[in-house]
Amino acid sequence: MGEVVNSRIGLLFSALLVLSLISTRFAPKAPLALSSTVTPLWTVFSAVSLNLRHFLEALILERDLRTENAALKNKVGELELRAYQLDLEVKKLEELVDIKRTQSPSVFKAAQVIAFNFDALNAELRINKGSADGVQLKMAVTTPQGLVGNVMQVDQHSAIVRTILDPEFRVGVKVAKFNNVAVARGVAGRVLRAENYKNPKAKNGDVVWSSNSAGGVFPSVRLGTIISVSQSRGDTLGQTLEINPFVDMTALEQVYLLRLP
Amino acid sequence: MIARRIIFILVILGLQGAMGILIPVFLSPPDLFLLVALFAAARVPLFLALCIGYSLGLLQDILGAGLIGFHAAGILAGVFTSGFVRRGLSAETSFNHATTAFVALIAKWLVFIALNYWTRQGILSFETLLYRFLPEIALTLLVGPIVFSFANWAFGRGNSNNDGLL
Repeated sequence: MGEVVNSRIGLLFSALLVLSLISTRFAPKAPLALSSTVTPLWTVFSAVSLNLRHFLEALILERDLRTENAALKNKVGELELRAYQLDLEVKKLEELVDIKRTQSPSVFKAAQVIAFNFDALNAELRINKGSADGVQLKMAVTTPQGLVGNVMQVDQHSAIVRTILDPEFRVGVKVAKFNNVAVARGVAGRVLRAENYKNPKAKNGDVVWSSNSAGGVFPSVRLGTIISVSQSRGDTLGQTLEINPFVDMTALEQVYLLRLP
Repeated sequence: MIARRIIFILVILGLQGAMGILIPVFLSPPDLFLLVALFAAARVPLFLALCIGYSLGLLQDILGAGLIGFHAAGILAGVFTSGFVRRGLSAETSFNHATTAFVALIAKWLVFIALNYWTRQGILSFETLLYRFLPEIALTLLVGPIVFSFANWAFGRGNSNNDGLL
């Protein structure tokens, strides 16, 4: 019985195979009209599939966008930092040009202020340039706003700057529109005081410049404005000027060194 | 039960058409018609299963507007070989189902190669075998359990195959 079944199965298989051999070789292709009968069904499934595919693609795209967004944010951060550094560099160069034009062509090097020492006796700064960079004692230290001080000590990679507010600092001064000079010194880390200034016309608000003629090695650099004029006491003659510096010493970030004459 | 069978047929027909959209173009979709034919071969006598398989293949040819009898012969060969493989297997396990489907797929593609030579139309090439044959086997084996479960839901669980060996 089993053999009969098997032979019938083999016969059917062979017959259908031969039918296919004939139809594939000689029969025309199936007309599209026949497949069109299931087109509505395929349309529904295709729409669902397309939506599903778009959903998956949107998920993948969103993930990619998130990664790309993070990378771009990093890139923007790097570019912002770079732009900031370039801004600082431009600012430094502009200040250098400004100092060369308005104060001294002998501007030598820019330095970063790395520490402050303002106490009862001292008004000093530490800068990040030293003898290895060519910094020397007594070099004038300035900014576009005005004189800062001079170099007091130097080691290989840093230097101490005595500011114009330091009690031991001395500088020749003159009021811009007069020729009279006097020597000024720092007072209590607050102002500069010039005594025995012999021109009664000096008044509050006048701009005061440094002056070599009264000693020191400073070129003519703006120092500050007069905030107080008083008659000197005792047997001295002339006025005592109190000068408010243009430079806010505690807010300094960068200063410029001038070559010694 | 009738409603389930109609749903099953519609879903299989629709999915076979939609697979081309869901699956990347460089991959071949699974052969759902062959899986349905194999399911039928496990439920009805092989003689009848051959007729069902051939009919499903013809339907696939007609829907695809291709050579009439091309897929029909392939599925016929798949069902025919599955009948012999099933006789040699001792139980209805997932592994045995996968083995049956694998052998059926091989048989189908051997017939395709033979028909390709016979028709002299150059339908199949080495690239076709490489990029369509292997993905189709993998995906068909992958979705096989799902289709079989779906078919069981639609037609009910059967006891054994035609000769009662399983």
